[in-house]
Amino acid sequence: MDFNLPEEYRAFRDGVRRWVEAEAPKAWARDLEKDEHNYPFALWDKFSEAGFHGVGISEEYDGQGGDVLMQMILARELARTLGGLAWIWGITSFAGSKSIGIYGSEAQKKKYLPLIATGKLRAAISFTEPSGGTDLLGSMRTTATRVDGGWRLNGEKIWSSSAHVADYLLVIARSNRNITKNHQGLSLFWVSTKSPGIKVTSLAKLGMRSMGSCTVHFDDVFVPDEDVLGEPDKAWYMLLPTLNNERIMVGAFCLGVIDGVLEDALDYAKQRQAFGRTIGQFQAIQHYIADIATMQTSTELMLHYCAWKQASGQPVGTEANMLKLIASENANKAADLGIQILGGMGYSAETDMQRYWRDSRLWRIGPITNEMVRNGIAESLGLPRSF
Amino acid sequence: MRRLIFQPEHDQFRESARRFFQKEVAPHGERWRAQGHVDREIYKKAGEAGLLLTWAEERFGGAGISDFRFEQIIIEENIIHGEIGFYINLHSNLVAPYIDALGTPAQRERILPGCVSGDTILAIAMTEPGAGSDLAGMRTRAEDKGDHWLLNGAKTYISNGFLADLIIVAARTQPDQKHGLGLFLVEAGMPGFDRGQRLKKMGLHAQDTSELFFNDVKLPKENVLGDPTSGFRYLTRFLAKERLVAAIGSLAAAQVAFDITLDYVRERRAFGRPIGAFQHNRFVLAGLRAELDAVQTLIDQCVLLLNDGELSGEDAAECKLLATELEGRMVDAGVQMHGGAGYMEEYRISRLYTDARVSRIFAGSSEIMKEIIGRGLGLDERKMG
Repeated sequence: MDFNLPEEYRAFRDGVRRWVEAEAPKAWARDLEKDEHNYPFALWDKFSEAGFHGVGISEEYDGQGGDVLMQMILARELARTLGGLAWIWGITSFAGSKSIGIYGSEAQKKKYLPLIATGKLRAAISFTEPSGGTDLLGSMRTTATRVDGGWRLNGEKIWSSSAHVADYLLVIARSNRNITKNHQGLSLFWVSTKSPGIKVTSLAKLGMRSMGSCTVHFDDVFVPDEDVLGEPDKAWYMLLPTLNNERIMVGAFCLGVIDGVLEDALDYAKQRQAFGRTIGQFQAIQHYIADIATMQTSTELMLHYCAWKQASGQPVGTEANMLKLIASENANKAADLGIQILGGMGYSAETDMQRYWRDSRLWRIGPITNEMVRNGIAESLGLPRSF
Repeated sequence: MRRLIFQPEHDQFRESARRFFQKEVAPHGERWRAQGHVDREIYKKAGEAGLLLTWAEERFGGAGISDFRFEQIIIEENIIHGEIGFYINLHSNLVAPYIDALGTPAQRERILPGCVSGDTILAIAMTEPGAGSDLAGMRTRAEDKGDHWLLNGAKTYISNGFLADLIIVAARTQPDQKHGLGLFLVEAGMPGFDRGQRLKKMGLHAQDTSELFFNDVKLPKENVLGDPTSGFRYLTRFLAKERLVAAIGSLAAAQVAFDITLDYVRERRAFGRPIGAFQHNRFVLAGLRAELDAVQTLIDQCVLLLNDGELSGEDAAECKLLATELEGRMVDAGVQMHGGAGYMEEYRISRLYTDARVSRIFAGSSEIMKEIIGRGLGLDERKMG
């Protein structure tokens, strides 16, 4: 067994780290994140210039190539300074390139992947509905009705991140009501936001600011047949690789946050003087920092394991759930300890610690709550459904 | 759990305080949070309603009530029904008591009536940019110039710092003595006294927090509070009460978070049931209910000890540690049970969450509380060799 990252991955990581220091430092991330109502287009454009939107997309579609592990190394390094803003890159990467790349037709790949890879197309995901949150299937009210040459969508979606600036939305809707189980009769649509009948509004949030969390209304929105992804009525089965990829990516973002927390906490503990010494000399502070470093290493091991499993085509559902659970709890706890180490400075909007704390708080809820993740892990061990 | 420390007169007072906060404070909360401070007028309105310095002597306009339960009720009702950023607790219980206890008769007559009426808004300035919990590291200096004192230095994280008319400033008076501090009364408009920008915080948006700068501020002798070398002793003397006040506020906020979360899990449905019907949510809320009742009982007991003059620094530190840590866990569980909605600012639980994070830091961090309790056990590295 070899736990070392292969040379090309290490070189990629070092290159991204240099890029982040130069192009997306923490101070800039702080400024961007303060402004809830302005999407950071400049950050998106920098990702485009660097070719990051094409990581994980093969060269034949104008991408940079690279597998899931490469994608996760990028996610981690971006989140180290950007925190939740790394999602600006991530949504299109998994909702767009992974969805189209895995279950799109050849024509769809040819049309959309090059646009995604070069940063000319932004995607957002519209799955959750107001009446159910985590109970995605039970709350699904959005319908797709067959019409000449395509479908008409009606309904409402919530928590659709960056839908207000997206070119395309990945939408799941009920296309067949004649079913025996809730997960049957669903279809996946790739919907242009320029379609008549779409209305997007955004809500102010606790963290992950500036990227917009949106409500999307669909009022008789027409989607042509060529923008249906995969086979109609069978969306649920196709979605799993996308959702697993999203959970692994959340693990990578959380690890990046832990990286940022650890370096800021260490810097501060080594400099800050109180009671006649540096606070890093106090045992309590040392133990906080030891805990953060332990979280970092354990999360990294789980992340690399899951990325390797998905990249090599093995089932990864349960492990992806476990990673998402431990990574999000660790990141939020690490940032909480980080605030405690920084004291009053940690609560001030002028430091990054509070941003890491607010941003990482979301990962314990979205894209799936950790309670639902635990339910899933327990069920995978043969226990009966508890909800 | 029924609380045992209140008599019918307390319950009546709570009713009228509640009406005040619901009518005069709560409707302005959103605007105050947006502008970053409360309106000055709210202090006058609270003064007219008899809600400032209830303990002050009647000749200063107060009600002369030494029973701290009335102040406890005001703190609780403001947090539950008013606006957490309205720092009435700081004004009445963390600053004014210094003037009452340490002031000369002339100082008390000059200052206290304005504090009771709400015309004079108070703040206290201890923390400096280079030292948070470490008072002995203070650098702001006051020099005795014969007929006046000269004040130089800077303070930060000063609550009410933007609105305050009168600020008690701690400054070093004996450069060679670690604990040689004095307390000085700095008034708005004094030459050389400047306020920095209101600091941006992740929560408590209606409460103004500022940096203060003192550049050769000339203070007349009548603006010295108590003995100019005993400031350290004064500060530590009042800290127990300050920490009890912090605990009262934190637990009131935690109770609000519990109540709105309980309402939410009863109504919100998923998988065909209210989410409160799931065992996990039921167990989390059950555990928190038990903890809330336990810590509330401890706080109530400490209020009675304070009334009897027996509240020790260790008692208050235990209260502050447990109440603020519990508040942190309660608002965290509340956000989690609200799911995505809990992350949206329009939901109160989201604000309670960011407001609460500073509770474990200010008025002495949790780590400092553990130091105090631990040293009280005789486990003091400075004395153990």
